[in-house]
Amino acid sequence: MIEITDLTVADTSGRAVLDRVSLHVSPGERVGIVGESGSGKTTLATALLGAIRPGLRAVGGTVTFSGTDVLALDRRRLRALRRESIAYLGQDPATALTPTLRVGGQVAELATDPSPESVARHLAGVGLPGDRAFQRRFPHQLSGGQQQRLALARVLAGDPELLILDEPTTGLDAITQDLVLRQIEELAAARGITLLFITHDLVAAARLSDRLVVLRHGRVVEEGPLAATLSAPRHPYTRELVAAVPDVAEAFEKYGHSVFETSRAPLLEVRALGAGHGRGRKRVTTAREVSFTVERGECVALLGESGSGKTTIARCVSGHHRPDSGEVVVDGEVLPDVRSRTLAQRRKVQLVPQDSAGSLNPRRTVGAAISRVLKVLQGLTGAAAEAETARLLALVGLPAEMAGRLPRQLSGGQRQRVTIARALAAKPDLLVCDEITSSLDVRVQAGVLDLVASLSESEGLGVVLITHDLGVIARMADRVLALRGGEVCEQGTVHEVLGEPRHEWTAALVAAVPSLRAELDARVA
Amino acid sequence: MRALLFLARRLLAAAGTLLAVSIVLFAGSEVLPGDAAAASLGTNATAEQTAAVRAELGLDRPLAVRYAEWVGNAVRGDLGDSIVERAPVTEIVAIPLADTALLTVLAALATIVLATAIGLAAGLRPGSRLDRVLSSGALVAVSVPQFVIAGLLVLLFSTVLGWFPAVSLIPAGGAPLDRPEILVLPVAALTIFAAAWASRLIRAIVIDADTAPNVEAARLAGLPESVVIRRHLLPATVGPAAQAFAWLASALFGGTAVVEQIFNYPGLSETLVSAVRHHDTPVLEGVGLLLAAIIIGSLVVADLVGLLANPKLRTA
Repeated sequence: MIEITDLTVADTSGRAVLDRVSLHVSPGERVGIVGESGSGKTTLATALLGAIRPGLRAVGGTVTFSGTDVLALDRRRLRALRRESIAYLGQDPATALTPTLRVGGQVAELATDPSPESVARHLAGVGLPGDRAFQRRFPHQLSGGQQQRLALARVLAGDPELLILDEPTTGLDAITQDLVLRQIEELAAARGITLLFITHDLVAAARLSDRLVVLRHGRVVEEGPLAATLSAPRHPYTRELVAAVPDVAEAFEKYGHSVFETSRAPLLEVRALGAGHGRGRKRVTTAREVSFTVERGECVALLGESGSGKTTIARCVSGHHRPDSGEVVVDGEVLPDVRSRTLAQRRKVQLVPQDSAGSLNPRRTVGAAISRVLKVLQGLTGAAAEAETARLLALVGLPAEMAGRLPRQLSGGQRQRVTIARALAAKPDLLVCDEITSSLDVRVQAGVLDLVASLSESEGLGVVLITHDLGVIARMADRVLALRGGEVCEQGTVHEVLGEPRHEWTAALVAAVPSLRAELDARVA
Repeated sequence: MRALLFLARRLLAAAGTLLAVSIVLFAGSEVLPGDAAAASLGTNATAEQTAAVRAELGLDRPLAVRYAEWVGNAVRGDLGDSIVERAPVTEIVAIPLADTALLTVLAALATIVLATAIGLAAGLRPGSRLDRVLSSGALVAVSVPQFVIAGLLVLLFSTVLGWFPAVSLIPAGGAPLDRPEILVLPVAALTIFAAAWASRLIRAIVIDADTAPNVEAARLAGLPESVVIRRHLLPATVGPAAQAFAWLASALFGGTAVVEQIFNYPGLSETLVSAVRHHDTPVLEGVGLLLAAIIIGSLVVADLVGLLANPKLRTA
């Protein structure tokens, strides 16, 4: 069905984004294309639709779909191909929905038969109600899960032969991801749709493909049947990828046994914290009566979906958000908000924010960002600061020459590591990490987590870890606070919360967590 | 229902803003050197004469009292009497205001059409030759002062080609609409500047909407480009474009002051110049308040358009 031969796509400077990539997909097959950010996955996916991003150019090779040369099609035929044969579901499918278009219109404009009855059938196909009232709704009146399904119904309305999925589950929590993948799996099987699943997530790929293609720096480094490729990878890169996958069950067995005694003088004590956003009648309380402690060398995870209040709590600890009630106590001292903290108090607590791009001044070099902290909080200047900056960069796995770069010259993962280095420059006692690994590829993620864990062990660094990823928690945390709607719904050691969850939400989350090993075992059986 | 509530709240806020403007206007004209009494009597008046006129005009009463009286009357539609002409301000201002408004409304309509067309053409293909030509043309047009544009228009269309009159001669008691040809050059002078300015804003709004994930998804789904633009791209631009055009109201009214003088057009500009010269504060304050009301009103309309164009705000 798809026949890509020696496709080479280069940017304006001549650097190859895809380098002689060949791919053969037969009708009804399910092929997973795995690679890290920057490996050329998305370029490959959209090339199949005859769309090459501005600034890139196909310089060699061919892309054929059912015998037609896609790259040579005129606009009208290309539109017909996209409309009738190939569907594309991109990252964060809900953003593909135009907010001014009603549910019915979203599906009807792409359906072969735009009648309300046919639209209702398409909606029912993805498990959505098809009645008139529902068809009259706008996307914002649906839940997040319904939006995902509507986006799927939309691209499937044209009865495509091939469905290209480009990271459709990135950023979703485990429960929603599980639902979306199951839905796609069932629909594709029922309708005999060929699947091309592009992802950086090996676990998701294992779930939805029969064959794997591993892409690195625009080249295919390994290709083969799923089980064989994952259980006995031939290429060292694939081996590295497989080894780096955070597997909850494995990490749990390996790390989940540490027990920290709660001492009388914890490093951090949060007492009955309450906080909210907005003013007057629009005030929304995002944290209610939250209490917990962190010991020296301990890592406490705040687990919750978006909107559960975990970031607000973290920002209260770092002093960037003023709580309505309750206290933040570090080393026995009640800390005010960050502006009123003394330099010594500021040094103790450091925040690594989620948005690394937004927290770095775009006009200051990486070195300037780090040495400023060294100067203000450590009193280091000149050659001493330079040496320390290089040491910190090396610590987070970045070469010393990065000090001269500006944030926009770095990748997302590199920026994230710079913000960690900047926080460590203060020699903090407590590190507050807000979803620091969510934008990182698995290999980089493993490196960052190892770094924080080793600092915690060797220097007694206390860590407050905010995440929605159970794999990260199993690897890192000693204790877990599960948050729902701003309240602690369950707390305990990792062993208690992940091993025997008591709250129904935690239990559902643990049950939905994907595991590479479990996926493989299921396949082989 | 929600839209009505929003409108009510927005109108209340607009009234508050207008009140604040009225305080600034009143205080501002109060601190100007000299007053109407001195101005109307000339330089040879004695102190007694000035005091008598001041008393007659009520200028000797405390500031707060006079302000309260002025605002109270303004709410009922009475902007007081002109000191020079001894006639109600509303009467004096009505005809020039209508003439200026005619100029402004025509220029605004032309601007909306022209700026939307140019902004779309440039914004849909940023970096293309068409975009470069349109964008640099717009940059030139906003950089050249308005009186230069007006002068060039007169030179070309009046002096050389003789198509339109260079000055707005209207028979006594007539209105500009009796001779529509006199409107062309003033409206063009206003439009060129405003359309160039607004088209740059529209271009940026279109580029922003064009790279939105829903627009990209619609293209990759194989919808015809016309449908992608009309159904997926344009709705997102309505709200921001309405805001951009609302600011035009103030830019255009500002522009009329210069353009009317150049073309000798019988609008507010003449009325204001003579009011400033004769220190006719009631006229200045009245016109200021009316213009502020029009500008604030157009911003309210823009907010309402933005609200209606966004189903999330409309229905939630």
